[in-house]
Amino acid sequence: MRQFALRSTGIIFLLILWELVSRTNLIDPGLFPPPSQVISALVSLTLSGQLPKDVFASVLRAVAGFVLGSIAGLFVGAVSGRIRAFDAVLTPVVQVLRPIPVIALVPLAIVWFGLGEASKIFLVFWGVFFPVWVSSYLGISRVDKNYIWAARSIGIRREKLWLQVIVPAALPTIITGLRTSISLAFIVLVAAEMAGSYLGVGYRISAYHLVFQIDKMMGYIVLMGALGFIADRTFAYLVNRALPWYQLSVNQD
Amino acid sequence: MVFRNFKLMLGILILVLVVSGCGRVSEEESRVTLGQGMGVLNAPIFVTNKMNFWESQSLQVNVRPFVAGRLALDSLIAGDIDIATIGDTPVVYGLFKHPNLRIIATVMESNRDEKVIARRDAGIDSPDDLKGKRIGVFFGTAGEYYAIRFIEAQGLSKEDVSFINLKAPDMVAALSNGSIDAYVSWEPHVQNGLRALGDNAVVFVNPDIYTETWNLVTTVEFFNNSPETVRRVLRAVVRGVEYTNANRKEAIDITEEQLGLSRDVLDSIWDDYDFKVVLSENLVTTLKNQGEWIQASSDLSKGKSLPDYRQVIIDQPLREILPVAVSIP
Amino acid sequence: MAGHVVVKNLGISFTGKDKTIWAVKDVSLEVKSREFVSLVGVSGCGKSTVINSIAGFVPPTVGEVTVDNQPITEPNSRRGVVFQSFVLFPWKTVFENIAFGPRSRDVDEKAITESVDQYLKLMGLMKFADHYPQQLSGGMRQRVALARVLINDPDVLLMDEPFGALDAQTRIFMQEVVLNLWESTHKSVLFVTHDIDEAVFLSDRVYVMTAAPGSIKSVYDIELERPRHADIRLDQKFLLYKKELYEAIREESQKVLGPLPTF
Ligand SMILES: Nc1ncnc2c1ncn2[C@@H]1O[C@H](COP(=O)(O)OP(=O)(O)OP(=O)(O)O)[C@@H](O)[C@H]1O
Ligand SMILES: [Mg+2]
Repeated sequence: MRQFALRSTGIIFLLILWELVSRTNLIDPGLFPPPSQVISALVSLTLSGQLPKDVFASVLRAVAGFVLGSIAGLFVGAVSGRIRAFDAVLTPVVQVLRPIPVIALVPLAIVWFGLGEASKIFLVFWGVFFPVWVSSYLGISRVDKNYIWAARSIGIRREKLWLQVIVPAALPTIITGLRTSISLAFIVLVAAEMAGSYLGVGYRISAYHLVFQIDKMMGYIVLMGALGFIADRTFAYLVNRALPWYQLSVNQD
Repeated sequence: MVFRNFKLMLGILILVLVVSGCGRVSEEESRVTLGQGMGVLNAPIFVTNKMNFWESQSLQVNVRPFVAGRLALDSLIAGDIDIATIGDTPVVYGLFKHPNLRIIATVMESNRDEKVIARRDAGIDSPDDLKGKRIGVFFGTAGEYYAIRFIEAQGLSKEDVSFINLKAPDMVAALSNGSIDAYVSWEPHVQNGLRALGDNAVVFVNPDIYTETWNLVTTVEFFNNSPETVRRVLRAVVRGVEYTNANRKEAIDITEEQLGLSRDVLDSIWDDYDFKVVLSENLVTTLKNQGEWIQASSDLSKGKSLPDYRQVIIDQPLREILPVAVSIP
Repeated sequence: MAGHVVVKNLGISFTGKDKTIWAVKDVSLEVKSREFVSLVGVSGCGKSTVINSIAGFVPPTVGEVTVDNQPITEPNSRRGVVFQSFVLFPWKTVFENIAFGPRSRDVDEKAITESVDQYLKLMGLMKFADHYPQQLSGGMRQRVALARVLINDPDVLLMDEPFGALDAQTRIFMQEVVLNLWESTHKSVLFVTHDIDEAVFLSDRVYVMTAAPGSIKSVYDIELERPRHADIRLDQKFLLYKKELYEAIREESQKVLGPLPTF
């Protein structure tokens, strides 16, 4: 609780400073609206029902893209990280595609999938897939061989090795990859939504930008930050609940 | 043979380097960064660039293209560019937050540049069918204003359709794959849509609702610091416009190169554009009309009265260069 | 009697990018059933490689390794390994780490709980059953590692510098833990160490390896009476063994490190 109070102080201080700077008219408040104005814009957008719809649409896209991209990344990473033949075939393909910045694919996604959900989910999928693949590939292929030796010399059967040893040993690396991907998912999503959409947080940021509605635009930007923050915290919380040992090992090393 | 050519090239290269090294930048020369919105309406500027009419005015112009004048405006506001070519709508929007924007000349007027293009297989054969449809619009551009006026002229309101904000070049793809049923945009984007959709496309034009102006826009600060540069830019553009009107074929060639529209297509729409350097009452009226529209439709101007749009226009330089072009008091 | 390890003319090479390195060359040694044998040698001479080969992790390049006359083909819980770095599974609790072997063999859960509890008690870890390895001290971790191996009741215990990462006090304590265990269970032990004192204190026989690539330089039978206690370290015979071993090792380390620099 004290921790929480302490942490909030910084944010509250920032808000007060922001409010004061805008109020002194040092900077044109039209261009740099004070938090009170941004908050009231957020409130009225919420009451009108538009904002909840945007949040719902964006979160759904982010979650769908993230889940699909992670599953694919984990699977391809694990298979190519452990099985030679797959490594030889898949890794060069992934390596060639990986350097393409996902933002560059936004126009292509619109051509392929249109402006609907498919293009957004595809882009988030693409953005998430590679970092998860890398972490899964590295995590799995670089499992300390001592773990495998230890397990084998205590009598584990080969077929149990995957679930009992390889996957858990790779988990810390994989979790790091997944966590990076969460923020990436939101970045990609905003870019995708800004390029064209019917609704969503990124869409509103771009639309309000073009018509100089800076308070609403800032409201949505702040909202985006909040969504990213909540997603990251939720992930961390779930990981700590599901894997109590994880935090211990991270702090150790 | 190859080797000899190579030597020749090398010789030329060295010569060029030496000459350019010697040629001292004349003291009179001034540098300008110009942002241009891409569209057929920008043809006189394409011509001015291509013919380098800047040079005779001792201007060294760095040209930056933007997908839309609206995006050039952001750069102008940020101070990355000195002068931009922009339609009227973005300027009206921008003035609510940036009162330092100034128009120094109109270089084109047209009431047929903006159009509506729709898919027939979305059930659209006449403008009335747009009701309930998804229509792509590039917010903050003249296309948005035209779209609203167009809908209103059909007796519909904003709520009867769903406008979707899209960058102009993305509209073609969005319409092609059925993500939207129609879009409103300027050329070359409507022609590109026609090319992509063929017989499935239908185009509507309403010439009575809006005459768009394409303007040279700068900031108070740039004008105050470099009034002479502004005059030179105007002189060069006046030449560009004259050339455009006197040499239709060449102007079309130059525009073709810039926009990738075929010469035939350009030729067929060329007369929709009235290229001329003016500052007229029409500009003040259109700015004011749009100001009132924005005031009524959004809370941008909350608690503020509309700016005096006459004051947004700096007419003195054009009055010196081409007095007949200025028809506002 | 089980647990008779024979290593005959063992040579192991690793093929890297552009060359082949011989990690050990011609090692012959023997651990008879219920014997405690140590292997000492300078760093890098191939001690771990020998252990890994007996464990079944690394196949011999030349020569042969047998346990009870059977050539070794793969790891097996009959040969338990204790590593210098403990190698506990950080994702499992102390209890689960120790239960790992029997669970792999699908022993019924009630029997597992019983025997894990027995080892927890034996190792003084009763209170830590639900802790994760990261929450334990080094000495406790090594006791978990020992319990995790002993619960499988192996014939041979292969210990690769098991106390190398422990501080001096903990190390001496752990030596006595191991000695007591061995005296009560009489498994065959091959024990790798850098510490001559430790080797003499624990072993029936000590093999000294030459510098890399290692082979056996000399063998010492340690004829000190058992059961041994800490004060045996002050025994004249103990000190003589230490001296002999010390000389042998010093010769090898000079080969690696060169003669003492003169200032
Ligand atoms: N997998 C491997 N690939 C290549 N070389 C190896 C491998 N394992 C060991 N070696 C090499 O074999 C030699 C012997 O290594 P080993 O680990 O057996 O020595 P050691 O006696 O256990 O040393 P230390 O006392 O430092 O643990 C070293 O030169 C080492 O680099
Ligand atoms: Mg070793």
